[in-house]
Amino acid sequence: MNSIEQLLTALIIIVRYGLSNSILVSTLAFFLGLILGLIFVFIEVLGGRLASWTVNLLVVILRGIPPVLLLFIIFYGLPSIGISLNNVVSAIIGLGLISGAYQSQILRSSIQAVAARQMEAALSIGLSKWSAYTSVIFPQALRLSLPGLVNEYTIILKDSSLAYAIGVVEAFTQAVHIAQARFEYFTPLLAVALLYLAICFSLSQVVNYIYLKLRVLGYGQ
Amino acid sequence: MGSDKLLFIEDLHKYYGKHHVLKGVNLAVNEGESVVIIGPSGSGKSTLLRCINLLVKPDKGRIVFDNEEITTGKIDVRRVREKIGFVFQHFNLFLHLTAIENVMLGLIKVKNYPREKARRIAEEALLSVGITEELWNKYPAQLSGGQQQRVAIARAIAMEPKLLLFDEPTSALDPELIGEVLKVMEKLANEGRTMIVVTHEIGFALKAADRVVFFDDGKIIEEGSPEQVILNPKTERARRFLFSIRELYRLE
Ligand SMILES: Nc1ncnc2c1ncn2[C@@H]1O[C@H](COP(=O)(O)OP(=O)(O)OP(=O)(O)O)[C@@H](O)[C@H]1O
Ligand SMILES: [Mg+2]
Repeated sequence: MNSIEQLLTALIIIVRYGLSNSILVSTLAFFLGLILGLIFVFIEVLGGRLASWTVNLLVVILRGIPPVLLLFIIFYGLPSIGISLNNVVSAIIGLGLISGAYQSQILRSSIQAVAARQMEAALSIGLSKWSAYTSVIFPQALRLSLPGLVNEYTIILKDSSLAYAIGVVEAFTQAVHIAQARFEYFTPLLAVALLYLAICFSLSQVVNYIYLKLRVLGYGQ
Repeated sequence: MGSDKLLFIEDLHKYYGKHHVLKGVNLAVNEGESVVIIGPSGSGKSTLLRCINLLVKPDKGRIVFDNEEITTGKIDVRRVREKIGFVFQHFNLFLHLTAIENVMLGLIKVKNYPREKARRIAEEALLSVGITEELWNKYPAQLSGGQQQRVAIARAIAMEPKLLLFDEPTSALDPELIGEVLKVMEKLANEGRTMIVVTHEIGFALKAADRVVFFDDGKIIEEGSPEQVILNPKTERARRFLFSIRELYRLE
């Protein structure tokens, strides 16, 4: 087998037997993070002092934990207090929790970017604060957040390789398995790197497209 | 207080921290009257307008609007704002909504009109400010500043407010676009709408205002007919300020 063939077979094996888990873990973690991010930001914006202080503290903690440590805590640590989760679920929850902290910050900064003047305009036609948020501020903040959220997805996708540490067979794990079987690391690792790169590159094109659309709507410059 | 008084402001004060911004404003506006407020930057004109529709809470004094004191705690703020249209210096259109959706939002969410009825009213309001059908489905960013401000005016008048507040509606516009907005405002004044306009456009004041108020340092310094206040102010401060503005606009 020449090296191109080795690269291609490694790629095929990784796509067939690893990538689906990478995508599954990162997509579910992303949406878990989005839901958490929305909840966090709702509480920060609409909740009282104490509630938003608590959320802030939680965000600081979640951002301060190395992802792999959190995965270990959930997968190996929680069983000792009676909560046993399988490794895929642990990875989704761990990465989702951390992503929730980041996504809440992405959302919050977009809310701040639209808030003041749009809020005044919304209130001045007689909308309630709730309607102002749900029909004016949040829809715009979500649009403004889209580039950041897609970026966040690429970060989770890459971070999902950490699930290797708790035995989830995802793309990176599969590459390592191939390497161990072939006694040759370079080609399979190159294959999986190219794969991550291709996905991230495509998503960065999506981000550019979103920026373009946003500019048409008059956001940013 | 006569019943023809739509708005009655008495000894209004506002502080931002220690900064005393409104220092006892007294102003009464009759139904159908258009009042122009002129005054230097930072004198508190925007703050006064914001107090009137309760975007800012005054610290002392009374505002009676439509026969009801609105500066008490019990008041339903939304119902008051619904009756007061506000036109902002920077238009503040909702960027994610098209021109017509901007006008419809309040009709649907505040007045609870069905979509069809809201659309009909919005179309009428847009036409009345000269925004024709081909612009209805454009987003604010696709419109010129003058068109955006006219949509903003349509958004305000579609709610059928009893009072319209304009906060320097033309000062963010390119000079060639100012005229189209002033024309709409003149038309509104001539229709007998009650409005308070903060502006430095003294040409507009002379043509459309029933009364001009000169505002400085958180207080009304002088008020009277447009000719009197603009062309022949009594106080030195007003004279100096209006002189500099007239220079600027090369009027007379
Ligand atoms: N939210 C705020 N917090 C603190 N200070 C404020 C706030 N809004 C206005 N001010 C201050 O109050 C004073 C009056 O402001 P205001 O905007 O009412 O003046 P203005 O007459 O409308 O001026 P301009 O012609 O610049 O619009 C200014 O000194 C301003 O800095
Ligand atoms: Mg102002």
